[in-house]
Amino acid sequence: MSSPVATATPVSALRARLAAMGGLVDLSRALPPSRVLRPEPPQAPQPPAERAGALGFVVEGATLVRRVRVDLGPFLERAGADGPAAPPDLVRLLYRLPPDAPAGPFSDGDALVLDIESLGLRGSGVVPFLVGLGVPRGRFLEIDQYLLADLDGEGPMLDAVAARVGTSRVLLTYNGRGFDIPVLRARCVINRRPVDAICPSLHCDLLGPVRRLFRERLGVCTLRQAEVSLLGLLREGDVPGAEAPARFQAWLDGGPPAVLEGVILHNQLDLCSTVVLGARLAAHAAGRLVQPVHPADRYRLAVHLEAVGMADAAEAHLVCAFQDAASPWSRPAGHRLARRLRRDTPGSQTAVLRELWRRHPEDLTAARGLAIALERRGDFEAALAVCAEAEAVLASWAGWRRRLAVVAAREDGGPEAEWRRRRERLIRRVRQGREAALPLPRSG
Amino acid sequence: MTIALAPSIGERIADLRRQPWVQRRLAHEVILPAQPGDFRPWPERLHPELVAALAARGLDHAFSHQAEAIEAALSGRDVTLVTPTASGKTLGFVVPVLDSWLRDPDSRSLWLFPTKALAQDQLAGLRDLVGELAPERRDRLRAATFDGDTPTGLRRAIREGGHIVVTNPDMLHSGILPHHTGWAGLLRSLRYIVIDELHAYRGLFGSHLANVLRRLLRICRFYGSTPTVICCSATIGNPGELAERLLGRPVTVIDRNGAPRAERHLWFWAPPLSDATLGVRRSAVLEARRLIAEMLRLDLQVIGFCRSRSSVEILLSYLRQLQAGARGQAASIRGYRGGYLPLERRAIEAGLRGGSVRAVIATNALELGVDIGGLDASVLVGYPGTLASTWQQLGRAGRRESASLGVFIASDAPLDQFLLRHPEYLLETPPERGLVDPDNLLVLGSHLQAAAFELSFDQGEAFGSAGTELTGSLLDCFAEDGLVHRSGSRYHWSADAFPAEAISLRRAAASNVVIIDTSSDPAGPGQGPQGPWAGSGGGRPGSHGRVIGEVDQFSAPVLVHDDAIYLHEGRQYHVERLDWEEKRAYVHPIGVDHYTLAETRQAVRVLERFAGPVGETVLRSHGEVRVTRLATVYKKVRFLTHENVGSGPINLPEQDLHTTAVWAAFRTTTLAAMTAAEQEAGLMGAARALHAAACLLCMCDPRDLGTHVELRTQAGPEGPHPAPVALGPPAPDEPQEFAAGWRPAVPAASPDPEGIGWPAVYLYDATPGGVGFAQACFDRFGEMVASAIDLAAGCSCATGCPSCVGPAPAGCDGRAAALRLLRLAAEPA
Repeated sequence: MSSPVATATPVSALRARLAAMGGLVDLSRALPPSRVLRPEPPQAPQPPAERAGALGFVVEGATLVRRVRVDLGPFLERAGADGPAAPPDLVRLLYRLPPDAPAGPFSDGDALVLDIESLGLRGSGVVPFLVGLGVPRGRFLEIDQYLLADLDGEGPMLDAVAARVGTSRVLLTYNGRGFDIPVLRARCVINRRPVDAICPSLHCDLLGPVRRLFRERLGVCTLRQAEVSLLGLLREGDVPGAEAPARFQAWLDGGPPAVLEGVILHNQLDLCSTVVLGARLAAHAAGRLVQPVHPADRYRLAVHLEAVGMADAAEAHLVCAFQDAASPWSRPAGHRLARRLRRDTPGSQTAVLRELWRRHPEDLTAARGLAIALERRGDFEAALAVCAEAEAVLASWAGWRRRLAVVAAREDGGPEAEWRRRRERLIRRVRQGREAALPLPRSG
Repeated sequence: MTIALAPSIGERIADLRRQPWVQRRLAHEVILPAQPGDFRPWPERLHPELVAALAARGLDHAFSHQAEAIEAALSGRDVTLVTPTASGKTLGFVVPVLDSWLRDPDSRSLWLFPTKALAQDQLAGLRDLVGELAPERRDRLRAATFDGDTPTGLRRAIREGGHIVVTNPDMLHSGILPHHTGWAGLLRSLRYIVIDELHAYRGLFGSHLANVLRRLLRICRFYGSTPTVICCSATIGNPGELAERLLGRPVTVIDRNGAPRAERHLWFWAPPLSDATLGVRRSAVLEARRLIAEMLRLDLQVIGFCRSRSSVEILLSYLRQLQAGARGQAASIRGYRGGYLPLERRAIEAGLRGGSVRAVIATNALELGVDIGGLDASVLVGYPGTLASTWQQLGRAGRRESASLGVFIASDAPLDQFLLRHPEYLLETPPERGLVDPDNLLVLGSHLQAAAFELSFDQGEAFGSAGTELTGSLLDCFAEDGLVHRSGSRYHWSADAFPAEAISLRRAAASNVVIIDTSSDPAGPGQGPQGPWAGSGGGRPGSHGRVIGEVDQFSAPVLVHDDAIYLHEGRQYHVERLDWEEKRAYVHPIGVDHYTLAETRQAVRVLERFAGPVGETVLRSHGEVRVTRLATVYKKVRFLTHENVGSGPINLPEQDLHTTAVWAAFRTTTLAAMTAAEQEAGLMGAARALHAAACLLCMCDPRDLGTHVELRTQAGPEGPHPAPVALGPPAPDEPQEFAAGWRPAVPAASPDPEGIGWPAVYLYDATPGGVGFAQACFDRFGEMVASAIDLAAGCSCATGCPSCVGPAPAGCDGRAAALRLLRLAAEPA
């Protein structure tokens, strides 16, 4: 049923027919007019390798590489870090290592930072056209950028990248776990390379720690946001990442080198700031907090340290966070601290819970913890007093709880029943205690 | 002591048949004789564990069609299994899939169902059979649905380890194929692709699916797998052709049903005339109420099919009121339609199987292969629109061992009346054909983009059966647009876009008008911070909006103009504002006693003739046309009385639809004996009858085909365009470019041999680019005209009524005029 005219149609006629039918969805995203740098393509286009030469790329085997060495000193200084984080610190402070993680010692140059620029964000068809790799040595970052000047040459580029990733001991990325590595792996499949060709032995993705530590501060945890808020770095004249695909296309279609220069620099800056961010995060985790300190910082840091198995360090931050009574994070910090103290120092736990409840009389979780702690210590009368107060609080809420049908929703009778059961038990135990304390009746 | 045996179902049907009021309404009665089963042993090469599991479920033998399908699939032949409802089609694909898995635990399969509910159902059926396998086997089989409802945590496990992945075309299109590297494991070991309910993939949806399958098979080739495809279909006219067009390769058709069937009674029910002079009949819903109530009294388990969701609810409430007093039966009468929650549906299905639900009133949601067992009676309230649907719905009644009853209650609609007069049409005509056009340029183009995204194209590579040259031209076109980049001999996707997202499998053109309910809650679909309409803010300041639907741009001026009453799922919505620039219509629910009807002016211009003209007095052609439509005014029409209670102008730009059409031009000399009024009435009537006949022929919804009548046609592309002087002077405010279509033209001096200036009737595909309906109408023009003549000639009205050619203007016999034109058109080609 195909229309007879549809075959062997010149492109212009085909385009006209498509337009007459309403057209396909416009998928092309042209550069904004101010940034259009796309002249008429030259009459005889130069080979891609020659054109890449104008951007500083040299042919190496079947790939095009650009090598630069960047002094990170000023950035590190501005960010308040001494030098790039040594791989052991980075790993120890930011991650709970999997059991099969390679053991140290790590040396300078063992870490590899990776960042890609790609045509698109989702799906197996996303082509990485620029892969930046960097090795921090001392205060310098040695960068190798691989450019896909010819889309047919993706295989060799992937081989080169896979070899570098495979020989590095620690891979450092920002959102690489969710994006860069899956993209590279998908492309390996499509280019008939083994899917595990891109297989870092130890992958430190900074997005996770940044989210855990600074979500309140940053809101959207983009690298750009982290640079501004955590490192005090502001890029000037940077090409936004979203523009990279259109610029690369323009360059592919014969655009001047300038159109791609910004993208290459952008990738280079991404690599640099990832390394600086790693250093800053390691310092933060080691206790040199990012300045100025945000009210949530200590609490978030404590949660993070607990997660990576550094409980003692966490406790100190929890104490600090709890002491700052005005901060909204003091209450969760108090609860977490009380949980930590339960086993080793029950006395301190009771004190923390009592303080928590004093500050937040509506916090029945604190009251419950306190009642349990007191009961466990045998201080039934004090526990009973807590019960009475908690039940009074609940009674004062009865009106709205009933209106919102909170009470009816629970099969076990809800907190009212729980407190009542606790009170009855405590009364029994107080009574048993008193009876036990009575002198035995004399015989005769 | 005497033992009273409960009367058999056959006796109860006979009881019903004896009642005088029933006898008065029976226009025809047909008894389809019982048919014995054709049993075969399970194919010998089946895995012995599987044969044992089948035997454990009481399946010692296969029906012949099952055995043939399994044999073909095991031999690696693509197969289409076409047998009626409840004939055990499912085993036709479950058995080969399980056999391959038992032999090679790494082999995997992909099942496609048109709806999510159906997918869940089939999986439950599979688990029953798998439950009979040895424990160490059955626990290892991982079968799961993968659709929009699958939790994120489970998706990875299904992707990496699912042996049987059950999904739907939309998910395959946008969730699996564009991410194929994540599915490499499945695609590499893909042994079977199962496509159930093949007949659901007709028209535009089918054309899209054909392209999705082209993409799937292309990716399979990349991963080195060559899956066998097993399709199942309800009875349609061309199952093999449809499957071959969808797959782009030859398919073995198995259509001889080997399942036994008991005697079936089929009644054609004519509601009595309530007003003989106007030809108005008693409502089909009221008739159904009385009939179903009587069936319930006789303890027959019954299913009633209504055409719309609202009539389901109306009939349901009628029946419940009637039954409220009677032995508390109201609870055993249930409704079933889209919009019910999955758990509720499952409960109703189980109730039907178990017998606790005695009656269910449903839309065609229950027509597809949901397992509810066989019922005693099926009542169709009105013609469901296609013969295939009719048989599907009638097939819901009928068990292998006891008699059953199917009743078709005719409504006032033309096709209903036609079937009442021609029961042989239902019984003897092969069912409609499923038509698709995988090469519709818009559909093909958009899927080619998605395919290029998934894997780069080699120069000279053809996309399915689209051909090397068309594929190459389209790719060159995309290269010019900067979507693909040609490097060496390959086309690489190079745009920052996710093309699958831009394709909806249910429409062709890019731009639709979105209908937003401004009164609804902010958490509705499409809303929320991530929803596509986030921040749309509805139509009024501070209000939120929920997207309730979409309407294509061509129909929008007619359906959702300012102040229109838009009907959606049986509810009325008032259109507050149509934002034409943003393509959004803001509506809110309303309850008023009228609806709106837009009046349009329409013009059709022939762009290219693909075939024809054929004929002497009536020239018929097939080709590409541009339909231009301008909505001018709307009327407010009161329900029931059809009074005109108001009107208003519509100020929207005219719309173009570029599509394919079939048209018939009548030689002016043959019409000399007719007055101008007769000619006009005749053409309108003929168009209406042809439209109804074409819908029958193409198995399409009436909205999928448009009609147009022209008293004087213009030149085709070959001839000169009519000179402006041939037209009456334009009105001062009339847009010049649309004058041709509706302004009465000055009669031409001599009729052009090509048919220019002749009266003509057009039938066009309502989808941009067309999906093959017009082509089918051209190919089977004689058949279509014969049906239209039957329809018009068989009506008992005087000069035309809504049931045949439509009401005629006063003083004019529209039916006779239309018949005259149709008989002219029936001349042999």
